[in-house]
Order: sequence, then C-alpha cells, then structure tokens
Amino acid sequence: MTTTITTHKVAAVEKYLQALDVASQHLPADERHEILASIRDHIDEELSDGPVSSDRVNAVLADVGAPESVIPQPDMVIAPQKPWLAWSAIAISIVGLFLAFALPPLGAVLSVAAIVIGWISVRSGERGLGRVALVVGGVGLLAAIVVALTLYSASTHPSSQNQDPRSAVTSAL
Amino acid sequence: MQMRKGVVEFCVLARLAHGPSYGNQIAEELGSTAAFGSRGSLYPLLARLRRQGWVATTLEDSPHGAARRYYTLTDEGKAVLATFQQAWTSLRESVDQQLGEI
Repeated sequence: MTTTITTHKVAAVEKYLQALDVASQHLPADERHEILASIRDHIDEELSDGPVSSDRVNAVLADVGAPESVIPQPDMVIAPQKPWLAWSAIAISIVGLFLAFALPPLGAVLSVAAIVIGWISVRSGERGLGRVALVVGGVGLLAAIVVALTLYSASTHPSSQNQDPRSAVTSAL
Repeated sequence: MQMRKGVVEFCVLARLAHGPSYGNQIAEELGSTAAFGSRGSLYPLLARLRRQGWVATTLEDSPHGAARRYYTLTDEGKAVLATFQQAWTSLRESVDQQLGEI
C-alpha cells in the first residue's frame, strides 16, 4: 500500500514538474532550473510529514497551481511600431551608400548609424523596413571600407602615383 | 491583473524586511492576502527578485531533510522597498480621494 502511494506521489509530482518545465521553456535555462528546484522543494516539504495519500498529493499540487498560472507567460502585447524610425534608417542608409564612394569616412558613419537605427526598428516591430535599412546600411559600410582601402592603396602604391585615386576606385569596383 | 502582479513583488520584499524566510513560509504568510495568486507563482517571482539583486539566497539545513533555500533582502532591495513605500502612500491617498468623490 505504502509503495503504491509512494509510486503515485512520485509519478504525480514528476508529471506536474514536467508540465512546469514545458510551460517554462521560454525562460533562460538557469532561471528555469531554479524555479523547478524551488517548487520541487516546496512540494517535498508539504508532503514531508504525515501520511501521503493520492488525495493529499493532488491537493498539494492544486495548491501550488496549474503550470500555466505558475510560470509567467511571455508578454503577448505587440510593441508599438515606429515606421518613421525605419524610414529614417533607410534614408540614412541610402545617403550613406552614396557617400561611401565620395567620402568614405562619412559614408561609413552614416551606414553604421543606419544599421543601429535599423536594428532598433526591427526590435520595435518594423521588421521588413528595418531589415531593408540593415541590408543597405551593411552594403554602404562594406562599400565605404572597400573604397577607403582602395584609395589608401592607390595613394601609397608607386605605380599608381600618376593615377587619379578615384579612377582607381572605379576600376577596382 | 497587471497591477496585482506589480504590487505582490513589494509584498514579498516587505515580508523579507522582517528577516530571512523560505519559500513555504513566505507563501504561507502571503497566501491569505488578496494580492497573491497560486502558491507556485511565488517561485518565479523570487527567482526574478534574485536576478534583479533585490534578494539573496542561502541554503540552510531543514528539520524536514533537504536543505531549505532562505531568501534575504539585500541593500538594493531595501532601497527599492523604501522608494515603493513612498510612492504607494502617495498613490493610495490619491486613489482614495478619487474613489471617495464617486
């Protein structure tokens, strides 16, 4: 009889903890483990004195609460979108892309700014427009780096002393 | 209710201001308050308070066998609780005044 009750206790508690584990998958692993360990201790302590009947096990688990009510669920509220922010990022990234060929340092700065603002836009819910800004900003930054390196190489290389650095960039690209 | 979730954190901090306590004990004492939901929901809350640095935990022997996890209010937790107390007093007076005018 005792064995049956103990088996029931273990099975019911493990099933409950498993359900808690499933409900807490969105939490970081260390936080999940801490919560599950604390709740396991709580249940063990509640059942530590007196006879353990299946009714008592069920009552303790009911008292702890349904898994989905115990574990805070991810916030389903959609963050307010900011289309103007994403459009600004796209505009800055386009200007940065053009300037990457004429004034590489300024083009690089604007491209980085576009990437940062684009990233903020993606995080705030403007995924499509934000990603466009990220891509254009990334291309602008890459172009600025290539142009800057080519200009540097053209200005230091002896064979290119008589060559206009900007035409070297054009031919390099 | 969102407000209840926010307030219950401070009920736990206020309880810990009286001294270190363990999960079952806190649940027992807060269980009768209207602000508190299921007992199990206390543990995610305690884990969150610990991550925020407002409470600290220690493991101590228990007469029931396994070691108990005791929660203690940190200095940061005390400061947060003091700030909340001030804000709550002012909010309560303001809400009471509005409700009294109905």
